[in-house]
Amino acid sequence: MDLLGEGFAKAWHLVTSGDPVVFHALGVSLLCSLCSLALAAVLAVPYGAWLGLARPRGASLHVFLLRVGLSIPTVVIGLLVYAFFTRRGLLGSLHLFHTKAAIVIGQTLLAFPLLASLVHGASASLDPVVAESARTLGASRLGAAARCLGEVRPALLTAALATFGRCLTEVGIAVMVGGAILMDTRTLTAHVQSEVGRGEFGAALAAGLLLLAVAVPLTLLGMRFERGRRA
Amino acid sequence: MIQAHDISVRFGEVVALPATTLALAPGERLGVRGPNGSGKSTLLRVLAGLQPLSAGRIEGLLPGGRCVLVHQRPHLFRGTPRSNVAYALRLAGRPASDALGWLERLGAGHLADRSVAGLSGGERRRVALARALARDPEVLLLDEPFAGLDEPGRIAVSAACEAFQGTLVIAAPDLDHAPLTRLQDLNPQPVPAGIAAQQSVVGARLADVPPRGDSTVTGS
Amino acid sequence: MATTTSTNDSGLLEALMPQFEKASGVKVRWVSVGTGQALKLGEKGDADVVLVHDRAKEDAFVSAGHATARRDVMWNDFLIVGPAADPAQVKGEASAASALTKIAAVEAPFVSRGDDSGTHSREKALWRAAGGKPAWSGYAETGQAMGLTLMVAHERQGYTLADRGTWLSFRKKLDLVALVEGDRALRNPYGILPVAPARRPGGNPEGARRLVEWFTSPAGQAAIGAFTVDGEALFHPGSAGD
Repeated sequence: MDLLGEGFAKAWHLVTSGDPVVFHALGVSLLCSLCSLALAAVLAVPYGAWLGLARPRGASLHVFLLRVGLSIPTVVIGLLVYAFFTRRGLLGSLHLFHTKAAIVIGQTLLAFPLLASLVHGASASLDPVVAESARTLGASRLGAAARCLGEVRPALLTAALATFGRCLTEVGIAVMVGGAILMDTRTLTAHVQSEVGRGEFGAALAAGLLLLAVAVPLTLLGMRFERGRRA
Repeated sequence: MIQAHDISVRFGEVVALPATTLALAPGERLGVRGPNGSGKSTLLRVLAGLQPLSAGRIEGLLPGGRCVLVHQRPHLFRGTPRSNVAYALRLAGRPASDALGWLERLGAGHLADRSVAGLSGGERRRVALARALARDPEVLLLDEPFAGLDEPGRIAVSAACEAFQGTLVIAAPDLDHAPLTRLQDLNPQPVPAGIAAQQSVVGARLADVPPRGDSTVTGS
Repeated sequence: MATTTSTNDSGLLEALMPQFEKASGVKVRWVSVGTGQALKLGEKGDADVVLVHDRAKEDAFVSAGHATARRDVMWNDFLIVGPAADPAQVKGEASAASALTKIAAVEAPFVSRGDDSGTHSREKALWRAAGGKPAWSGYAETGQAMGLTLMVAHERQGYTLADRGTWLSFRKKLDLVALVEGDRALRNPYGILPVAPARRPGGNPEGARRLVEWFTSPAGQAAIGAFTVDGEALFHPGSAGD
């Protein structure tokens, strides 16, 4: 229990002293997760909506593959990105490896199947009457799809928060692809891992608590949206 | 002018719409009568261009906006009755400020700024009809517009139908309240005699009008 | 047993432990972490034996009463690796400390473990010997294990201080070459420390004693000397002689 006490004390100290290493790591975590969410959303929202609303032939195969994608461990995604972006890789000449951009690419791969399947779930649960109502009033196919997504706005927000949280809390990609370089590509989760590696369990726990302090309000926000949807 | 020849819709083994022939002239007010499960809703969705055919041929379908369907259980988009009508007005390229006027015509002006989530079935129906009328369609398809309405609601919907200048199709199990010019019956399981009678009636009407249409849907 | 990554990643323990288990009948489970974490595990009573390489910390560990003794087991060595282009011209430099000074002077990329591991401690000691580490933007800390740190050095085409074992297993995958080796200051002695029974109630002090004895026995020492990777001996039995 002394470890927990030490962790809380250190966490308080980190926050009040504005520890530059930890806050930089938190900034890297938030920035990378946000960029990954935005990138993934550009691809996953139209794709998920298309699967859920247009129900194309073979949609169930797509959904199955998304589910498979959900269960790929982050380190495997990290390896995949590594294979492409290492100096000897196909895209090595871009010199992206061990940069924040590489983390974003990896986390986008992590976020895409999660976000796409959540968007698919939300849009597939809609009564066909919704799309028909928009179509019969003269909306284009795209306009009707946008209306449908508007109808499931709370579910979309919840999906976005869940995806953001997934990126924020993962460590495999951040370390494998980002290199965990101090004051550069080290995310908060990678920082926790580094502190554990140094035997600084208290400091590790403190950083973990800070991460929790960011993640929990996000979860609560998500639950609020969820309630709003049922109301 | 919409002309449907021997159209039917199946979902696998289920017959959603038994073979039906029908002609709809401009300005006509047609009542489609039949018990639950006779295919009324499916027929309206076909006429609205929302349901592909399994067999048969249909001509003269109009795109969404020019032909508007009000579902049996209408869906109101998130927001208020006003925002729903305003959406239809925007699609029609007309000023959204007219929204209140359309709601008032259906006796639903007092609902304008409530959340649609709190509306009763009858209130939803009136708002949906106001939204459809605001689009100013050439053809209006109403699926059981009187179900669940109280007396003032029935009068308001009836009056709105009467005031509507375009082609009107109303589907309901009984159509005593509707201001109609013609009735057509749909039966759940087509008995040979029934079909013959139905087709002879419609066939006679088809003969009156020269076939013309700007779109053709052929069953797959 | 809590030990450093080098003994596990090199395959040494996998080769040695079955021999000990056969001789003693004691089963050994080990976790491989950084020296700092390994000592912490011992201190918290999560291990019976600690096998690490950081003399100063080991001595502190014993004097704090966490372990009953410290015994020399073996030594291996560190080397400075870097890009073949060698912008700091350190190849063949006899003194590791002056090599570091040269690297810092041209502000070449240098990747540090930055994780309080034995390797990191040695790097800091070498900087002290070089008169302190200047700050420059090419100096990066990973806070991660040797393998990942070597990968970062490879990507950045920078220099790093590596233990020979990890270097041997990674070098084929890296565009890096060995530049500075053989300096006595690069020798890396491993110590084995049985955790004090008071720190680990319910532990296995008898097993710990026998493991320490075996490692320092002629049989254990011979097994260490016979262990090779790619035909190269990685660990040299006995004390580093300092």
